Amino acid sequence: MPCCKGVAVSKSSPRRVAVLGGNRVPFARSGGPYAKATNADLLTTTLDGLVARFGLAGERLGEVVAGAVLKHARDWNLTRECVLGTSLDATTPAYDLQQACGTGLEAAILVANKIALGQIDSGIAGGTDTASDPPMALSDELRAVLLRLNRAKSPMDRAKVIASVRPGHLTPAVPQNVEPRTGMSMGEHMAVTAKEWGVTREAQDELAVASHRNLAAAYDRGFFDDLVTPYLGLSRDGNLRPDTTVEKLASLAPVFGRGEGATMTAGNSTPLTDGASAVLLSSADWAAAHGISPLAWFVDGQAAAVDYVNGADGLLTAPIFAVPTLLARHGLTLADFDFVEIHEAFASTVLVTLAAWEDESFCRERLGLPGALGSIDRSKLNVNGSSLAAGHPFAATGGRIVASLAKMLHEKGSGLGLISICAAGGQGVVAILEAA
Amino acid sequence: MGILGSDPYATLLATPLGKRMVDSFGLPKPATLRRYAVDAPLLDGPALLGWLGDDHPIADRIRAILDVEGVEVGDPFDTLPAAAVIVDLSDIQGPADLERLRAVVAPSLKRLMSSGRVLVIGRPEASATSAAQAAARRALVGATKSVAKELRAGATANLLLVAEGADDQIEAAVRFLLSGRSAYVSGQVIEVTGGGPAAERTEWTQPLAGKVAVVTGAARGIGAAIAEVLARDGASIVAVDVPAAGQALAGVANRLRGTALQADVTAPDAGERIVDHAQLRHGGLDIVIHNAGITRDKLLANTDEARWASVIGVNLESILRMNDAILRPGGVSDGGRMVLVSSIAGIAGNRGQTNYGASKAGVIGLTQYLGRDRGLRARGITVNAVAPGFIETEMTGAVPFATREIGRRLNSLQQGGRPVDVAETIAWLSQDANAGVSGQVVRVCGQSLIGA
Amino acid sequence: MTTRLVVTGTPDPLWLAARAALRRKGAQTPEVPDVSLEQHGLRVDVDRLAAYSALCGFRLGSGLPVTYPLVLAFPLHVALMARDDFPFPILGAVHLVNRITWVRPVLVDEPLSLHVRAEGRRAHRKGQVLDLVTDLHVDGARVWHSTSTYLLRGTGDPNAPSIEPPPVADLSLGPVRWRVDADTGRRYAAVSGDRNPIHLSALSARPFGFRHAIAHGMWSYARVMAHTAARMPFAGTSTVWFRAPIPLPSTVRLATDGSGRQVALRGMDDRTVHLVTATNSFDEGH
Repeated sequence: MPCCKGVAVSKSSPRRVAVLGGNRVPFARSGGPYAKATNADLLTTTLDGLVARFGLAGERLGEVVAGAVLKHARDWNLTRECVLGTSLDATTPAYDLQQACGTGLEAAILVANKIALGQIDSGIAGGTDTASDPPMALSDELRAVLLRLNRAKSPMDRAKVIASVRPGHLTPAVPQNVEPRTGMSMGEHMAVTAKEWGVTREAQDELAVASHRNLAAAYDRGFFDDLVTPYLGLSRDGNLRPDTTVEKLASLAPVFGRGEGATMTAGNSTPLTDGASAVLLSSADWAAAHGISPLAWFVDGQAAAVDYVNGADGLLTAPIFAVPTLLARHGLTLADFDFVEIHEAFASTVLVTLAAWEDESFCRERLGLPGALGSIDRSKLNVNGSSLAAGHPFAATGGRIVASLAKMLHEKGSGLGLISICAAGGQGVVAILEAA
Repeated sequence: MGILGSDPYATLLATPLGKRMVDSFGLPKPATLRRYAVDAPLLDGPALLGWLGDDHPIADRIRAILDVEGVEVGDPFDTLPAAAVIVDLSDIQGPADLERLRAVVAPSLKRLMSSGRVLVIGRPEASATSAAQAAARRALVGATKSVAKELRAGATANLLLVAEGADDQIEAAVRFLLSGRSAYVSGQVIEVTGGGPAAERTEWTQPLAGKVAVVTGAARGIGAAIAEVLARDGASIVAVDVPAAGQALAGVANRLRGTALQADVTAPDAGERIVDHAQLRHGGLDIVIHNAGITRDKLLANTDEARWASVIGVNLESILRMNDAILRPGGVSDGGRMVLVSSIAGIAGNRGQTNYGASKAGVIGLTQYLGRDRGLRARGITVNAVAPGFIETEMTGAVPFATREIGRRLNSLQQGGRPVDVAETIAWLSQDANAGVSGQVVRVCGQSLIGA
Repeated sequence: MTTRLVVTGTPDPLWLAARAALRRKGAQTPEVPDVSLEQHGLRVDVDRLAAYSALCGFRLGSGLPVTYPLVLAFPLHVALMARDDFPFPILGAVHLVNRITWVRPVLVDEPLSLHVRAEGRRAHRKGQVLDLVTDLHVDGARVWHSTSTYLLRGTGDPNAPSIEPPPVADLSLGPVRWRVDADTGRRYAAVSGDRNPIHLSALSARPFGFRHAIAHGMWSYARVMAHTAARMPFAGTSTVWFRAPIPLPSTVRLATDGSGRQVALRGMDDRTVHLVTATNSFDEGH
């Protein structure tokens, strides 16, 4: 920490940031039980559940930060509007943030930083997404017509403007799950990367099965009793298939990539999902004053991005770059972690990430390391399941992972946890938690 | 559209002839019961106070309470309306003394206002020193219960037995039985056994201020009402219910500024989680309300092992297991209060509810055992139960229609109770000032004929 | 003897109302029919609930808005009012007051039973009133109850007790203003099934003596309840007095007592009070 002689710095010396707990609704397959729930419904419900878990009704928090990747224009002030609908004190500030699938984790980093700096003492970081209720925009042509109509003075002018509408103008612009710069979907991008790294179908299917089994086991032992609040009749993640097997998954046809080498199926990719999550963070003093014992400390976070458009790196490989930077800052190695949470956008995303860190020449050439970053013991990886089983409502995944990892560390009683989340636009957000 | 045949009893009541029959028996038209409100007076009018003998310390204590509350104490032989008639017969020696009961109460009944109170004070017969005294003490039970059946317009009659040496611990019970808190408690015998520490000064509008209360099964029904009333009386609430009821639970907790704990009471660690949560979040645990319960009704002949086990497991075994953690040092604080929710089905039995009746009778056995426990008494912990009768909530909804209609009518108040009536009784049993009452089962049933 | 009619299909309110409107029946029938219309095993359609919630401003949660069971019961109300022996005509009865009592929130995924009956026909200063009583049962226990009081204008009794809301003078106007769009009646008709022509368009409202279409009373009430939803008691009673229709389109202002327990919807002028609501927790008495 740089310091200046003669200047009082006690106010600004960073404080430890506690992860106190979290809440989410069970994640639902898009078009399923939450088909008619809006982002505001999901986030308000999730925040109210968190408020109830920690007895925060009527309390003013430092701030609430959340976001949604798929967001309606009317939701321009989504988080603040949701806070006004919860039992939190109406004077709690709130704002939206968006970094694609990194939204939830980035929100946590932001809140944690403000707490560390003493700007706030407590805050909620969250995210919500519903692929069932995507915003649709008017076509650019129709928007132009409507703006002209608004300016038209006489009935005659208006009639003329209306007459200029063509049927083609009426087709709405629907948000597409494709990268604007490449026109390729995330899955297609990942398929290219997976092929480059030679990730096999079997390895992907095995990872998917492990995710389902781990998540189901965690539900069965009550792990999520204080992390999840049921919503609209759903009490477990709708995508969870506890009885799935490698054999069953092997029967699925590939959906991404082409021809012989295509390995990515609906079984080893995350489906479109609806859901929301939220995490409560605070200073140690605030936690003590509220009688809440921290589950974990939020140690640090890091984001990175890759040039997937013109460069050699795959769209979802940025965490591969972010993690070494973060580890170096703290003098840590992969072996120092007791739990590693790598967001399963696709099974192949996780497998490529692991392979890259084990690949000596890649680590030397691309990451500038003296050798391989290291390997991760599979028994420490996504031990309570991850997105392949739970589903992935984009902005809600960060909050899901932070809360779950914090609880795992607390249950173990010691140790470190690593979070790695890939995001659209060639980005990655990663973070370290420490047991409290 | 089709027509569904109604059951004969309801049909009878629905016919003009049936209505006339009901009217001529003077049955329904239930009175609106006087219920507690924070700013309501203890009584809506003067109280009449009578006693036996020259020395009457209990009557004096009650007069002091009435004075503090600004209740005028009227002359028993006047003719003005009265909100309560109280007769202290603790000094009763033999059957001849019973005339005093008649002499005081009989002329008062015609003057008793709606939702009036008849409160008879006696001593437990077990400590009688002569056969005549035992007979007379017991006679008060029969007399009070009969008076309760004679009363109309929402009035109640109850007998308060004060053990020798417990005179200084009656205030909470007296206040409860006179106030609107006991709206649906009638024909009951409640014993102040004493043995608790002398009551400290109580803030009667916030009797649970500073206390931390855990309520299981708090997401809905009676449990939610209990949480609400305990919060109103000043307690911080830990609302517990199964994870599946999480959202409703969150609503209750947020409204009461409490915390929600999603836990299955049958889980092996449920007791520890409750204790940890209360200690950590609220800095203590003073009041535990074991309310969570389920029904799986079937005639015993058709009851399989699963139906049996789930009801016994949730309603009875879970309490025993949770109590291991709650009653050990570091759990509920010294001077703590535990109230278990039993049921009239545990007293009278109910066709098609063998499992439920067993579990709720078990709750009574458990309460009476713990109420006698010397270790708990030494720590000032009281354990009591309430047995709701016909309460308008979804649990009673599982009862068949005809039985339900009968249940609604077959009590002295001629109506079903409300969840808040059960909650008020529990809140009273949770008061510090109620240290002298333990091991009691208080029926909140409007003096139901069932199991009486 | 009360006849209990169990409705098994979904009655079509539009068809029933149209049929009843065509058959002019005597408003002179002395008694209300001693009939209880019932529907059992009813499930909430989440899609429809979501549309209702969005239109009225409720968040879609696990508990039903307290006003929603009246939407579920609407077909039964119409079926009852469409009966030949029902004393009021189906079009032209004015919704004066509605009182809802709930013992607890009703959850979205519970099977529901509805019971609807009419009772309490009595004199009013401007004609006759009667109550449509709606009970909602879960597992056989009543958890929600509503009394909807309707007026049929006619020869009144000047001595009849009046039905007046609590005074609104103490309610202060805050910054809350709602623009009520011209299509509000049509949109509420679509989610509620209440296609009374007075709500749909100026043209269809005119034969009934309205210059504009008017908003559904139950929409405006629901909108107020949604606005104060965060402060609703767990169990309670809410009463609405409908005072003056809201013409479409228009702008209304909210006046409250600060706690949200008493609310008035007022017009932009200083006189008009569209409706008044009062909410109490269950144990505060009513």
